[in-house]
Amino acid sequence: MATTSPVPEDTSIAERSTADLLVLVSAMPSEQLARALTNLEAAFASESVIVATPNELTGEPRRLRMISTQQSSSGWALAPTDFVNAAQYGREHEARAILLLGPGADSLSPVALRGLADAVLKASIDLAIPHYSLPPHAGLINSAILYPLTRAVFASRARFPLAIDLGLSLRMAEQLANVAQSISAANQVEALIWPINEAVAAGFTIDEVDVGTRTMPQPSDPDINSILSLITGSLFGDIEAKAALWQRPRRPSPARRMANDVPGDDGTADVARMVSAFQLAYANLQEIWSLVLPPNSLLLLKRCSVLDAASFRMPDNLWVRVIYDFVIAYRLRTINRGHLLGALIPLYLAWVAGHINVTASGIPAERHIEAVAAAFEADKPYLVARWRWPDRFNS
Amino acid sequence: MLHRIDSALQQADVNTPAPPGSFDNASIWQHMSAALHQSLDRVLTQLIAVLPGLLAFFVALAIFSLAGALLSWLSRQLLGWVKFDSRVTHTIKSDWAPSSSPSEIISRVLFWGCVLLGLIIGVSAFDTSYATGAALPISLLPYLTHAVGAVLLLIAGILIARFLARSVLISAINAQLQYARILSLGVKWLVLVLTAAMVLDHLQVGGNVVELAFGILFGGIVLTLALAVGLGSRDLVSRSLESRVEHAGERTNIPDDATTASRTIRHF
Amino acid sequence: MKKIASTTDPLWYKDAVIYELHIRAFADSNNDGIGDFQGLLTRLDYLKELGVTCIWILPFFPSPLRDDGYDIANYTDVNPSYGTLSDFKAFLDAAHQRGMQVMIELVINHTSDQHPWFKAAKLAAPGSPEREMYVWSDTDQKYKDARIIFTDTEKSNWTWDETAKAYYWHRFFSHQPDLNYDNPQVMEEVLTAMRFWLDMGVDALRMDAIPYLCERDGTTCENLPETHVVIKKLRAVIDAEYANRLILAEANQWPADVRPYFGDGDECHMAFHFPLMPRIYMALRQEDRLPISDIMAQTPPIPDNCQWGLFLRNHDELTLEMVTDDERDYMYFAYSADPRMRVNVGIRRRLAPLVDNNRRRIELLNSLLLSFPGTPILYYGDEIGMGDNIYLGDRNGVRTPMQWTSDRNAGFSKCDPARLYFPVVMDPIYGYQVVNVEAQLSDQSSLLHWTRNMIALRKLFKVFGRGTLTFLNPTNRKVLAYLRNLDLDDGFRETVLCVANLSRFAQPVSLDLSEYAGYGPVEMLGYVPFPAITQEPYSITLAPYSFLWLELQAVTPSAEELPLDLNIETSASLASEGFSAPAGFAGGWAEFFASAGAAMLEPALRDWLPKKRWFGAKTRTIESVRVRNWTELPMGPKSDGFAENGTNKSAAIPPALVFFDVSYFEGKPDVYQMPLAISTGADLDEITVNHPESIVAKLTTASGLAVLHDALVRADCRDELLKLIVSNATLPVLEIGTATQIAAATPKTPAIGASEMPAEIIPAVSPAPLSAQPGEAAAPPRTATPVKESSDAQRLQSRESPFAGDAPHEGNQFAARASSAFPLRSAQLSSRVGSAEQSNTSVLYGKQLFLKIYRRLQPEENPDVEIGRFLTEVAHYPAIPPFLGEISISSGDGVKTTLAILQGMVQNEGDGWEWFLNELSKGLSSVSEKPAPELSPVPTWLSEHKPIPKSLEPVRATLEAAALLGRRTAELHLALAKGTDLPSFAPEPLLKEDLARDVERIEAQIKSVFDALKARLPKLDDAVCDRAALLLSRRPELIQRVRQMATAKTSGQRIRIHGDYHLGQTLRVTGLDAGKDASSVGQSDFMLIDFEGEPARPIEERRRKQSPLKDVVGMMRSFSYAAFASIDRAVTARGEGLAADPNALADWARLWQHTATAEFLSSYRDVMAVNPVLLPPPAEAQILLDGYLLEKALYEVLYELNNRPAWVHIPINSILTL
Repeated sequence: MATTSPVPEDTSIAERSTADLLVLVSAMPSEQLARALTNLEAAFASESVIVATPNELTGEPRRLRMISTQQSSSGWALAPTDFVNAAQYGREHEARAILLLGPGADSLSPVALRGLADAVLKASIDLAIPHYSLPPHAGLINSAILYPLTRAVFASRARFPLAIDLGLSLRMAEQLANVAQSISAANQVEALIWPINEAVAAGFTIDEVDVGTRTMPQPSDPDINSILSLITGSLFGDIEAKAALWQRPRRPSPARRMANDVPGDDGTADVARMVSAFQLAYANLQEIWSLVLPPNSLLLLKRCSVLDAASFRMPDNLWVRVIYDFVIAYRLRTINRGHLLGALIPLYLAWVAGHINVTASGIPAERHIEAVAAAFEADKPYLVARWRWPDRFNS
Repeated sequence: MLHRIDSALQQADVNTPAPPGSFDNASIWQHMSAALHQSLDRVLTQLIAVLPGLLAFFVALAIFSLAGALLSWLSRQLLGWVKFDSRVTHTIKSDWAPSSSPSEIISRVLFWGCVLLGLIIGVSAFDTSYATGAALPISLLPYLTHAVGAVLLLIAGILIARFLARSVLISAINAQLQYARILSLGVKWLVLVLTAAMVLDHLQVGGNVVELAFGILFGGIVLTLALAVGLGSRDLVSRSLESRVEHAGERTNIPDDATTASRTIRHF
Repeated sequence: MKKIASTTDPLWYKDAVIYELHIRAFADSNNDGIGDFQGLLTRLDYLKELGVTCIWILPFFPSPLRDDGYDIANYTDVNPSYGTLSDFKAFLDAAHQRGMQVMIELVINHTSDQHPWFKAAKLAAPGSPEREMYVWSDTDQKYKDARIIFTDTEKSNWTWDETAKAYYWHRFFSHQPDLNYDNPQVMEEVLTAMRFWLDMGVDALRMDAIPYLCERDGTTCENLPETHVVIKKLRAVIDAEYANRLILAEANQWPADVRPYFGDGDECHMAFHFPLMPRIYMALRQEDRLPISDIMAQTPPIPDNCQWGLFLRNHDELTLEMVTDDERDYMYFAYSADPRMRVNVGIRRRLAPLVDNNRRRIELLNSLLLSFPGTPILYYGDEIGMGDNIYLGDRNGVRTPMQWTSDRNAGFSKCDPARLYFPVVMDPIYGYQVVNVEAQLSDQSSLLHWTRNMIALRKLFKVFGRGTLTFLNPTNRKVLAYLRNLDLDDGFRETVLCVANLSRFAQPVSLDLSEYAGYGPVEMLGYVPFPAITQEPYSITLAPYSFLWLELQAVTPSAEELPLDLNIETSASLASEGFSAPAGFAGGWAEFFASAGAAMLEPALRDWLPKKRWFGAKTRTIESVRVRNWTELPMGPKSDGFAENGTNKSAAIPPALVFFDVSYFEGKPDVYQMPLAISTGADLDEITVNHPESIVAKLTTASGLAVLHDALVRADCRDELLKLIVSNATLPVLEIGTATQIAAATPKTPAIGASEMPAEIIPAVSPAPLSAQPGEAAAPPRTATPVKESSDAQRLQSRESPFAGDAPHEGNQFAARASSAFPLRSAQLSSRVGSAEQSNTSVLYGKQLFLKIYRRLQPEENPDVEIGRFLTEVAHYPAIPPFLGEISISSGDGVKTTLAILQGMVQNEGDGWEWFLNELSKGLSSVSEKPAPELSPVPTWLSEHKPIPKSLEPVRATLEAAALLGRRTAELHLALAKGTDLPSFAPEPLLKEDLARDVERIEAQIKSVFDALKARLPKLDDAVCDRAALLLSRRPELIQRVRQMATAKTSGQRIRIHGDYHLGQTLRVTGLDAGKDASSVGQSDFMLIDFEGEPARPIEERRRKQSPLKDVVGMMRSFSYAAFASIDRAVTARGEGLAADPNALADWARLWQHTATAEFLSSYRDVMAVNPVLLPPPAEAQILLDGYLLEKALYEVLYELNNRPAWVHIPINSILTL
């Protein structure tokens, strides 16, 4: 690797020169890239910035210094190679901060870019996580599972644990690169890296930066089944790997001011379809759920199953228990993990249906999500207790 | 060889019991000893006839076992040298990981494959050497190997049926097919019936009847499913299909139009 | 080719869980009846699932197997019956792949007599290198002092060899000749063997019989310095050539003798802790922790990179070499009823049979194993509770095949049972049909599952492997309690408290955990929170043979911290309703209480209240708490806490003063008031961090986590209370069921006769200049519109029956009112909650105002308010903090309940009690060297004023202060007697009936106090006991004296008095402008505070008019206390030097007490002369004084008996001197 030899012969002086900020941009159509670069120029007028992109380096000359990277594999989220690259270029250019921008980063405003970079450059934060303002019914897996679970388990209130833009300090980047390398060494192609979890494990500082609206890239495979399995499976696996860490008592990070809801239409999403999906699953997946869920939860699910679509609610407590019991079952391999995550989908849809109904009744979505997250936090002892003593009887 | 057996049989035919009436002692003893001689002779000849086959069977088995051991040892060395295990274990998802190491499995498969090969070759050699018409208990030997295979088939079939049934159930539920349970049951029984047919076929029990019965049963199941889909839950199916189509339509809309995006649901 | 280490952590062995197994006994793959590596390979996943991180395999080398493989015939090969070298490698790789390390045996003390080296040595010429591989001698008398280890089989450590014509040396069996480490070639050969295995990737080596390597005449041939040289050489090679490897020493020695085997961290990494094992069993059998704590006390500290190896059982006998003879005999009696169970110096049994297959005992022992400092080593089969076979020879009874299934040969092998190397255990209790892995895997509550969970739990906490150990020494010796502590690299601190009950019966224990006060213990197995630790002993009750692992968590304001409340909340809703309305608080308190709020709050308060100091009924058990009604504080929309999130719905719930009934299982119910607020967001964090004690409950609301807490911790709430007073606000009192909306934030016009204009337009009080002294401001209430006294009185009167006509239908009315003396108007003052939390809570606004909020409410106006108002507004008495305002509730029928009182704050030097104590203790220490003074007579009402004796010159200041106090007291009484036109203040004559009632009361008190004293007599100190007995004998005399009171002819007048008068109720102030008294400004003076009366008495009684002499008595008693308390203080201040003659000091104290009392009385008398009718004539006054003194002292006796038995001598002595 270039870093080990003191003077890499094939890199010119210009490229080796240092920079305050290194920006890694994911591959994107050239007009998007142009927009993103313009935004970057606007955001960092005075700093020395190096932009690394897998796109071909053509087009009009810019003030920014450009270097090229290889294409990363995944299309919609940050891939392990992105982190490896980030750490490598960061070292080479002795960057003080690294900005990782995911696909569709052109929709990030210069202010947002500035904010992410400043958190690292000025506030000496190791990991700056963006806080997107999304429309009410977007990023629901994140709202239902990722955010509350990460918040409860890792005591980090970052609203988007799987954010696709990140501001990193160099040591954070190297930490993530180490993880990424061990993942790619293990050939786990589809694995995701959870920056927050790694930062918490390493004891680094995390901060959230408001970045406003951003168009989120569409996952390569828009099928909810595969997305849910991939993401939650990855998170569950990471929770299993860091068991000793998160079972320590941990001070929750201070609460942020309530995020403002992006006002959207009170869209009439197809709740009925999701509820019927849940009811169908309730009628058919009993045998599988009963392997995972305790009788209490099954009873509550039964009550839910008779609600009609308009009044459908998934009680927060129930949802918490469901997720926690699935985490436990994932760890214990109670049933095949693919099947397990598959069986979670109807329950998730039920939560979404309940969530939409709650928001339709006038409660802001963010408030409901915060309540869910608080319920997750409150019931964490249940997770720890079952994790440590997974006998089924008292569950 | 066949010829000699034939002639022995002919001899036995010729020396059928003496006509009634001649009951002298000497002749009785004579007859008895002759009968004994003949049966002894017959068995011996048969043994002689079988022995080479048997020998061939054992030789084949021994040779292939040795070859198998050699091959498995070689493969183990080779795989160990290329660090096959550590490479493989990372690639397979952990919940699929078998209890023994992959190179172990490969070398074992090689070994048992060779042994099986030897067994088959030996049996076929034996078969060719042995008159198929003779109904000696020894002929159960090849049958036994079939039985072992059949048991393995059965176990595999049941495991696959269970797994498939569950997979189908979950994915059908997630595809919101109302007849998910029927489908999963159908798949399960399909596999089970198929397994049963294969097992019976493998055991060479029933012959054509099995195939026939399997065809009927299989056809019946497929027909039932078709009817279930086609008639019983026609509108359910159509509704669910429609909603899927609609849903797909929504999805494609998302990236295009920001205004519609706020009204629809995005899971991620 | 050298393989790199399988782990990256050089200290991996500290966190390891080692599993000891014998290849022969574990699993047989080729069905020859002997276990092998291929078999072990198939069982690796079982071990991984169990949680094992290191596998220790007993010797597997070629051997004649006469000592279970410890007689090695070839160091660098595998015994053919166990497999081949490549099998071993395959096993090694497979183990590494599963993250498990492998430890093998390096038996370097001796070889088998079948080893080629020995065969060659026998034939070689004496002195040749081949011969010198072993230790030879022509006589068997060398090294006589070395003990014989296998006493059952060997008679000598020397055995004659016919071929060699010489004796050879062997510490163990005669077929195991010892290698000769004086021969360098031996070392070379051993190193070669060691490298052979380490190169292959073996992680750890267990060095067998390590103390016996070298021999020297005249020694025991154990632990010789030469031996350590050998070990250091081995270690040096390992450190130089390999990384992350381990040497484990088997040195069956006392801990102090084992210690050298660690060297300075340059010999062995680990060593077995042999003496611990028998002592654990002994402790269990004796039900006494002493054997364990004793041996741990003898265990020396070891270098940081070293570790003890702990085990309950192993492949050898439970060795009893490292115990005393008595202990050995005890162990034999206790654990080996059948002599067959004994072998050599030990007991050859497995864990389960040793403890009678008692699951609880097994679990207890394992819990000790897993939580003691060191690395636990499990012996194969003990995780399923396997039994043994005592009919097998030597130690083979514990080496039977592993029991996998209930199939043939326990699933160990498919061979003919007769072919097995040893038969499997087949008895009805431990037989493989019952005890096997398969069965236990399918049984969720099996020992196997238990062990697996425990190992997993241990592995979550590094503290077990690496932390320090501290024994707690509870008085109950059947309980073993210890703390494990570890500071992790990332600054996190793991603290685990382990408590184990060694008894077969339940045991109570109270642990001194004051060091961890404030920590919250969490039971580790189930993550169950336990009550928080306080300064008090921590009490736990333990079931028979039970153990507790408690993780002590520094109380962090985290979500985990309050699981109790939350569990109630979540589990309740899970169980019953399940549908928590996410917007439960939108409708304010009314909806909150109407929905589940009250049901949640009331139990939460029940748990929360007893923790509060201001909660009066600590000794009583609360039966229920019920919300009675509440008043919502009209918080403006722009208050600090919610500035950022004005849209926040929970902000729509203003803080409220909530009143609730607290009923007890015994006694009358109380009414308490509690300002409650719900906070979210930034407030929540602030409160959880800084005021966790104020949180009543945590709530899950639609807007996230919220806390329901004592509103006083929030500045905006405190300010609001002041604003209410300033604006003379009136607010409705709301009740559950009345869905009254919050009253408009603009306060209603107070229903006060004089002021009819809205408060908004004309301020109720005019602002006084900030520079004005509080007392001054009180004198002319309004500069612009002077108010006549009569109108004041009218106002006062109208408030006595306040809102009867105003709001007949609304029932209760909440009213705040500012006094006419209120100096300033709503200046923004920073506020804080007073730190000294008494039975009330005080809020301090800046340096000017002091708001006392009563917690327990009583249905009468509080005397403090009543008297304060009277003294400030009517009598203009300057020596009290000015009364500036009040908050009260008045019911429809005119009963007024005081909620809070606002007073001016007085700059002071602390209370009079502290001041007197300081001065006195200083003075006392200066006089202590002098001879004891002659005693002055007890001062009486009648005694003449005498000059202060010379000897008391050092404490003259205090005596002058006493005189000053006398004057102030008299002035107070004169002021209180001024209110002639107010019914509640007008003086009345003290009638005979009143006195009769007093006598009756005091007599009853004598009876109850004497009863209590009798009951407590045995518990008192000897000296006090004596005095108490004397007191008891004086009973008739005392009664006689009390009855005299009723005979007084004229007894003066009854007036309102202070009621609870003592030094603590005075403030030492400088520069008090004493107004009319013309005392010079700047001089020290006293202010009198707290006119509440004795809080324990009902208000009605406190408001009763009484003889002013009662206050005089209170102060006299207080002088007595000050005198004796100052002795204590002087002694502690001076240390031992003073303790020499406490009696002399007591004399000094008594002298001071008498003089001060005399000073006080004489100046009091002088000032009171202004109004002679108030007091009876001197003779009668003395009788009354004595009676009241007795009453007061009796009260004190009772109080001290209940609270401070060490102080009870003070009132007892005082009564005796009466």
